[in-house]
Formats: sequence, structure tokens, C-alpha cells
Amino acid sequence: MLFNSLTFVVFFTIVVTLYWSLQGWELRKNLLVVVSYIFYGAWNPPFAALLFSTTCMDFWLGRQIAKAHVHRKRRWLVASVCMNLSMLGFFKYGNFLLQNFQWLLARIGIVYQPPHLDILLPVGISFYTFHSLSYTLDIYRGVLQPTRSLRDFVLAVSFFPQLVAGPIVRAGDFLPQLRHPPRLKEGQFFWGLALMTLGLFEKIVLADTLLSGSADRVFGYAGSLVALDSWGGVLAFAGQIFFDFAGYSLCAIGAALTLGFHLKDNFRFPYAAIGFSDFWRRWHISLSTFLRDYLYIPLGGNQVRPFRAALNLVIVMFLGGLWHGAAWTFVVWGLLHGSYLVIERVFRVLFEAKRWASTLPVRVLAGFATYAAVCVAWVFFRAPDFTIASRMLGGMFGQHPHGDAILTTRELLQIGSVTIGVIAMHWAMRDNAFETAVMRLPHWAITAIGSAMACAIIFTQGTSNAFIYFQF
Amino acid sequence: MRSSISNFKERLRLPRLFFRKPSREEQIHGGPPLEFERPIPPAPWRGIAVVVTIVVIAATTVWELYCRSLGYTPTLNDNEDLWTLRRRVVAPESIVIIGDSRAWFDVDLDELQKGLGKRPIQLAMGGSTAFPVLADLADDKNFHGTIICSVVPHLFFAPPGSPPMERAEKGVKRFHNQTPAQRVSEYLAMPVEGHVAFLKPDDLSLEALLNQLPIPNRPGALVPPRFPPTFKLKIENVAHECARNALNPGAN
Repeated sequence: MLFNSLTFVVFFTIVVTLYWSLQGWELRKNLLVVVSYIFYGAWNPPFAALLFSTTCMDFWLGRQIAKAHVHRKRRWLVASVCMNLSMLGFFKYGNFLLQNFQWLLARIGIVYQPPHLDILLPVGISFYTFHSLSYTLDIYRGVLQPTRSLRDFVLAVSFFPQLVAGPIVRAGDFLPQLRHPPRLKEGQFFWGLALMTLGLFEKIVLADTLLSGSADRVFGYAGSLVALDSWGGVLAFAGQIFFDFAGYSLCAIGAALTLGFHLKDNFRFPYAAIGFSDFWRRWHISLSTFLRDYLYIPLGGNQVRPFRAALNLVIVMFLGGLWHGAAWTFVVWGLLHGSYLVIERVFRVLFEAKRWASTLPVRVLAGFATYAAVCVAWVFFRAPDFTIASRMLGGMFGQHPHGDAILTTRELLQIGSVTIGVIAMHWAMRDNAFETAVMRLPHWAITAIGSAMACAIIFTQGTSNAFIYFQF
Repeated sequence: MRSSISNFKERLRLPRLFFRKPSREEQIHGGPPLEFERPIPPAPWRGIAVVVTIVVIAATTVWELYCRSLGYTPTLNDNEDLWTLRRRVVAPESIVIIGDSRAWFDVDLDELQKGLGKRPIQLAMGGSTAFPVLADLADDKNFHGTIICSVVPHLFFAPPGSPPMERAEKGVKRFHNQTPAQRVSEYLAMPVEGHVAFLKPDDLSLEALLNQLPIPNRPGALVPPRFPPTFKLKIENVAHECARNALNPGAN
């Protein structure tokens, strides 16, 4: 079920009404479990059974880890990691692995035709696998006690606002909220609705209406494009993916708030990042902190020799890229970000102590360089294959001066205005919380902006396009 | 004295995660029970919500009245979900019409029903090729009825990836992969579309309206043609008018 669909409007209205009508906290939690599974099963009912079975396994493994002695703990943890990753591997990477195996055999002269596995990817499997995995990892690390209630854990993994496209909410952040019935603070319900409206505006109006068409046409074009159109397509995608995913996250946070739950920010004005480590502190925060805590730090983090620390960064970003999709283009995207982080680290060693390095012009320049480099990496994220990616990069860097121009002037104006708008907004708010900015606005301005966004959502007549991150 | 665990770790060079206690930073970020609460900006949210609702209802009403004044009336949107709805009613012995806008606009189902004895199922799509639908019906083991196919050469033989091919493939794909959520959405959307005139994605959506802005394009740009405003409304009216005249010659 998509947030930007009529079905969800009806579903959400019924859920909220029923939820706040019920008196008992246990009843409300039961209701949330049922509606979360309906929400998930609305795509493909059999996959709800898969979700339930992996959740039950992690619940049981979590208890085994907590009960076991030191040496056995690790075995149970390995079992949990293997179970979760093998599930992810089969559904998401099965065909990818077979294709690469075939390619490898062909290199040594063995002709092997693997069967094409007609595997349907369970929506949101990458997200709920990480929700569930965080539970056993945290129990193992000794920072979380296993819950006694299977129902509570099932709800923590499947809570419908964050189930299919994040944020990746760790069990340790969610389970404590299930201990006592939430009490809505003054304005919390309507603030939740306001966040949902903003999220839908970002998705339906900015991502789908103003940007996605241009990005799709440029990345789907068979010929070579001039620099203006190539950059136009890339900037359109940079805006589209931000508004698409940040919009989903806002809807999730807002929906959770209306039900009395608190989810953390997933985006914090990323296009105003100065440097790539700053970018990853602002972009998909729930994934970057997950990878940091459960992968980067265990690998040694930056508490090892410089070369090893750089290698750790590259490994983490490589796996981060692969998490996004079973294709080498995603791997290259991850490796590019890994190399960016290493280069940034070298620059920091060389120049951080210099006084000129912290002056405003240099910081602004570094910010724009970061944005440009992030956009270059987006080419690999969006392009379906390396042929298109290299053609796009060729166009962007002026190798096709006689290429085609396919974007209309209107589309270029849309891309330009949205890009300038988003960068200006991010720079204006980069050191503030979003809530602080809203607090400073006069009430009439909040009303006017809210009305304009709600009207724009209705008049746009979105066509229920799926969110980009659903495929991951 | 070093513990056996440390020796084991060194021997195997296993990641630290498995053997050390989490740092303070991890204690904060890594999942211990957090008393985290999102800040709620202080504002009269209830009043704001009421005013926003009133403004949205007023603006929507004005827009609806304006669209009706332009000649738009409530109709169902011709999308892949509606097409899927019709595709589902195809029975083994059905008469099915497939093809492009000629078969869609120029066929009167009531008249055909009178002549053929049963009502044909309209599966033609404007601006599409019949080929994927024909292939899908041919592959359908349950179907052995009659197909009336409109063939416009440049549409019927449209290359893969072209808009006519994509449009038809989208419909066929939706028929096979429609999720329960999409089916419910269609059932919920139909009564709304049946009463609201401005729900016309091809003409009155924000994207369609922006597309009508008189902004000249760059010379030599390979851009799709821009149809005049209310183009679809006009051709639908023309089709209806033609059909009416054909059925009642001399009535005009």
C-alpha cells in the first residue's frame, strides 16, 4: 500500500480512528500488528508469512543469545546473521550471483547456462531484515535486553509506517516505546499530519511531477546528449531521489507521531553537506548509522592504521552500495562514495589545520564540490547499465557537443528552480532542526504553506507512483 | 594476563564487535532504550488544521466549478487499472475489441451488441499498439472467443520501448501483477472520478497545466508535440458527435 494512494487515506483514517477509540494498550498493540500485516500483505499476501517467520526466528534467536554463555552467544548471533542475510541473498541477489557465476565460468572456458530464477522480490526486504537484525546484534552487544513479548517484537519489526522503506528503526529504539501507552503531547497529532502533508508534497509534486519525467527521459534516451541535457537529467534525479525518499521518511515519521510513536530523522538537509562524511551524517541517517555501528566500528573504524581505516571505509560503502540493489552499478556508486570519503580524509589531514580552510568561501566551495561529486555518483545509481552511465558522464563533461537536446525549456526551468530552491533551503537550514524553522514562522505563514501544499497535492492528481526505495 | 578470548580474537582476526563492550558513543546510538521524543513546534495546530481544511475545500470547489465551466464532466480515468478491470471480465467466448484510438472512439458497443447478439468487451487503448494485448489473449488458455483488432501500421508495428508499446505493455503487466492494494484503489477511485470533473490527469493535472505554458523551446530540440488545451475533451466530443450523426443521419 502506497502512502500516496487513496487506499492508504482510507486505511489510515480507519486505523487512527480505531486505535484511539480502543481503551486498552494491549488491544491497541494487537490492532497495530494486524493492520501492519494488512498494510504489508496488500502487495503480496504470501510475503507477509515470510516476514512473520523471519521475525519469529530472530525473536527466538535473541532469547538464545541472551541466555547463552559467552562462546555460544556468538554461534547464535552467527545463526541470526546467516538466516537474515541468506534470506536477503536469495530473494535479492539470487539471479545476480548466478549471472556473475556464469560470467566467471565463461572466463575459464566453461559454458554454463544457469536457470533464470523467477524470484519476486518481497517489497521492503532490505529494510525489515535490518530492523530485525538490529535486535539480535544489540542483544549480543549487551545493549538491549530481549523482550518477552513476541507480539511486541513483531510490531517493532512490522510497524507499518516504517516497514517497507524505512527509516531503519532499530528494535532498541522502538521496543521501549511499547512498554507504556503513549500520551500525545499538545499538537502532536496535527504536527504528525503536517509532516505527512509535507512528505506527500515532496513526493507527489516535487519528485513525481516536476522532476521524475525529465530524469526518466534523459536516462532512458538511446542517443548521446549535450551537456545541458545530461546535467539536467542528473540534477533532476538528484532532486527526485531526495524528495522521494525524504518524503517517504517524513510520511513515516508523521504517521508514527499521530499514533504516539517517535521515529528519528532520516534526512538532515544533505545537499548542504560540506564533505562526504558530513553528507552521510545527513543522508539516509538510519542506514549510515546502522552501517557505522554494526560494520564500520567492528571492523576497527578509524582506531586502526590509516590504510586499514581507509579500507574499512571502502568496504562499508561497497556493502552499502550492494544493499541498494543487485547490480554492479550500485557497487560502483558505493565504491565512489568510499573513495570520496578516503580522499576527504586525506584532505583533512593535509589542510584541516590551515586557517583558510575554515573560511566561509572555502566552506561554500567545498559544499558545492560535495554536491557536484554526489551528483556524479548518482549517475551510477540511476543508470540501468554502464553503457548509459558512461554516455551520461560523457555528455556531462562535454564529450558530445553535437549530441541531442531532448529536454523542453519548461523542464529545464523546473529542474533549475527546484535545484536552486532545494540547495538554498538546505543551506539556510543546515545547522537547524526543521522544527526550529517552523517555530520561527508566523502562524498565518504556516497556515498558508500548509494550505498551498495540500491544494497542490490534490490538483497534481498523482498517479500513485511507487517510491524509489521500495525496490531496495 | 591476557584472556583466552583476546588470544582467540587475535588468532582469527575477527571483528571487534564480537568481543568488546560497546563504546559510550555506541551506547548512545547503538540501540539501548532511548528516551527519544521528537520536538513538537508550539503553535495552535488544531486551529491551523481547521483553517487549512476550510481553505482546501474552498479551493477545490472553486477549481471544480471552473473545470465544469470549461466543459469537463465527471468521467472515469482511462488508466491501466480500469483496463485491468475490463480485462478481468473477458470470458472464454467473449468478443474482444483491441487496438488504438480508432477502435476505442469509433465503435459503438450498443450497436455492436444489437448486431452480434452479445456485448463486446472494449480493450482498445488510445495511442497504443494492439500487439501486446493480442499476444496476451493468444497466450490465455481460457480464452477462445473472437478478437476484433484495429491495425494502424505505425502503431501496430511500434518498436519495443516506444510509447505505444509501453502503454499497452503497462496494461497487460498490471492485469497480471495487480496487487490487492491497487485493486482496492481502483474501486475507491471510481466513485470519486464519477463525481469530480477536475480529475483528468491528461488535461488538468499540474503537469498537464505546466505543459500548456507558452514557453518556446530551444531550436533543434527533439521534444514531443504539445497538444492544445482541452484537446482530449474536444476529440472525445467529436467522436461522440460523429457517432450520433452516424446513428441518426440527417438528425443534425
